[in-house]
Amino acid sequence: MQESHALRAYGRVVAFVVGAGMALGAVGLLLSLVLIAVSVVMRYVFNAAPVWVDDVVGFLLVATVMLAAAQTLRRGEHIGVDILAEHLSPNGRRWAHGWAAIASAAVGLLLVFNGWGTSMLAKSLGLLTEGSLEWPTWLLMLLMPLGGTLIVLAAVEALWRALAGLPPIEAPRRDEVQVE
Amino acid sequence: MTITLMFLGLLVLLLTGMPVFAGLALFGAATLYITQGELGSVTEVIFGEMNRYLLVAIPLFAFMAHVMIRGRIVDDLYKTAYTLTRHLPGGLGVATVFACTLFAAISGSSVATALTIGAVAIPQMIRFGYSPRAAYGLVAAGGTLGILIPPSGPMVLYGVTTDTSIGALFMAGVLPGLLMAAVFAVWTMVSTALAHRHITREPRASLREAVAAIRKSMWAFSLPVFVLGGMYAGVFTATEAAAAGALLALFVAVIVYRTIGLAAIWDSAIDACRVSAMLFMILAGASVFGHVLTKLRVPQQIVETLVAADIGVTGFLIVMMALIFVLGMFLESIAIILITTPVVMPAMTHLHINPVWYGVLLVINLELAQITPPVGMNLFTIKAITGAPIGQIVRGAAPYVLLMIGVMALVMIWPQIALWLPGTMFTH
Repeated sequence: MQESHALRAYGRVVAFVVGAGMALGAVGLLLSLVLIAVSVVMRYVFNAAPVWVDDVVGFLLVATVMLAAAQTLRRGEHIGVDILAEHLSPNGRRWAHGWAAIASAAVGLLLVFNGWGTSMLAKSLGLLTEGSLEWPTWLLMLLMPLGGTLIVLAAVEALWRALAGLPPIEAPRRDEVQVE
Repeated sequence: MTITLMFLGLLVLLLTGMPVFAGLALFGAATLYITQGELGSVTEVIFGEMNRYLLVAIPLFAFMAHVMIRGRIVDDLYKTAYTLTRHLPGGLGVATVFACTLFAAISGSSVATALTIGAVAIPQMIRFGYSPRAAYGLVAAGGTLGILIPPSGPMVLYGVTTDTSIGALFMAGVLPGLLMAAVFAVWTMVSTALAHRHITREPRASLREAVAAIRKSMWAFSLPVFVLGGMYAGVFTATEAAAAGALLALFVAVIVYRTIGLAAIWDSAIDACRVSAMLFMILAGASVFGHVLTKLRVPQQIVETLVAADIGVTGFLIVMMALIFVLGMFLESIAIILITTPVVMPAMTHLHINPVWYGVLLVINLELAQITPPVGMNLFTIKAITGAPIGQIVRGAAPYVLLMIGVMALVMIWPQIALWLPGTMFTH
């Protein structure tokens, strides 16, 4: 089955957007590493542990996950129970992939609408984060609709490919595998 | 009845092949909407579950392991292990167990352990005359040590879910992990002596050879000692230990071995992000599912049922371990932790079960899940690297299933196997 121009163009846009999300997530992870290292040094060398590091690292983790989830979805790397699906005919597998894409898109939409609503509610109430930082909660909560949007973009591409009879995009084979 | 139907419904949904995070989130959201008439702020629940400093240990340990692998710091582990064990009956098999144990203390992953050690060990074992079935089974089982011997991703998740000290959990996994490795090694020696008599034993390594072999893997040995020693001594929290381990791995790979550059560091960070996304999206889904269970007072109902049934601690543990064993045949270990633990926590509290002890039993059971069909991640890993029929791998792993159940029973009967070491920690 040939990939249509529209699908190819959409795929490129999605690849760029979710790839950028993954890159930002990686920056967040490396930043966490640096912050924790600084915190340990400050505690033992200067006896002045920065109390805000724990909060920031927690927020960075949420950001990393939300920004990276779509790329993992696009490459079919999210864990699923496929013992039944792999026994289906090629056509049946195509429907199974489509079904999985619809389910992922539904979760993405849940994150978008519920996350946006929750964020706006927090804004209207003027809520601040607990702990030492007291950042506006609504700004951090926006990570949920942002991640949801990326997931929807990737899920729509997966659904489109399934409907067009194309196989899902797979992660390139690697010498090493993910560490749980 | 309602609880059983809920769990069956979830299992059926997951078996349709959708991602586990989507199944958990949609089932939870749908149940919430049907029973409460609204979703409420479920995304706030998800945000709260993920926004935890302690969880950062998981991607940082993953980053550390990827740096070690890319930096080829662990390449000599297998050779070192063989030099030290080659004089024993089944020396190559014992070396495989030894290498799995050491790699487990670096990677925190069953699949990574089976893949990395298996790629080297399986061809070597077959070349030396071991049956392929024995080689597949040994590596599949040896790989499971990855999640019992610290660092361990599942233990971090369990610790966060139950509010249990991750340092204590890590320490509690050490002795059962070493016991499991010893049992595997003895089994390999006995089975080789009985079934592979044609395999010749090599002479014992001289002291000079042994020292040279250990020196080659010195940095690989030093990393777990640094990470676990730091936690044991109370110098680091689990998250700090993960960061310190990652920085040491970077130091060794960039400065000492000079095997990686910025591109490889970046790739390692990307891989760690992928791991985080996969695991924590399941956590996101499980938090919605857990939220609805709490709303429906399911944990309380389980406690009430337990009180009425009066099955006691042993009965509870046997029932739970049997249930988790069955779930482990179908579900991935992270999902099992996140689905079952919040539900049984109140019951554990009611029965005064030490959560560290239960955590170790749970992780041993999750190790079993890696090698029991139809869904066993290590079975698939061995298939991926050898192309062998899955039935042959399953048969090879079967004796180890029994051995692991035996070790789990020992830890259940003598909790001190798990609890002694954390009891001696400086931060206890």
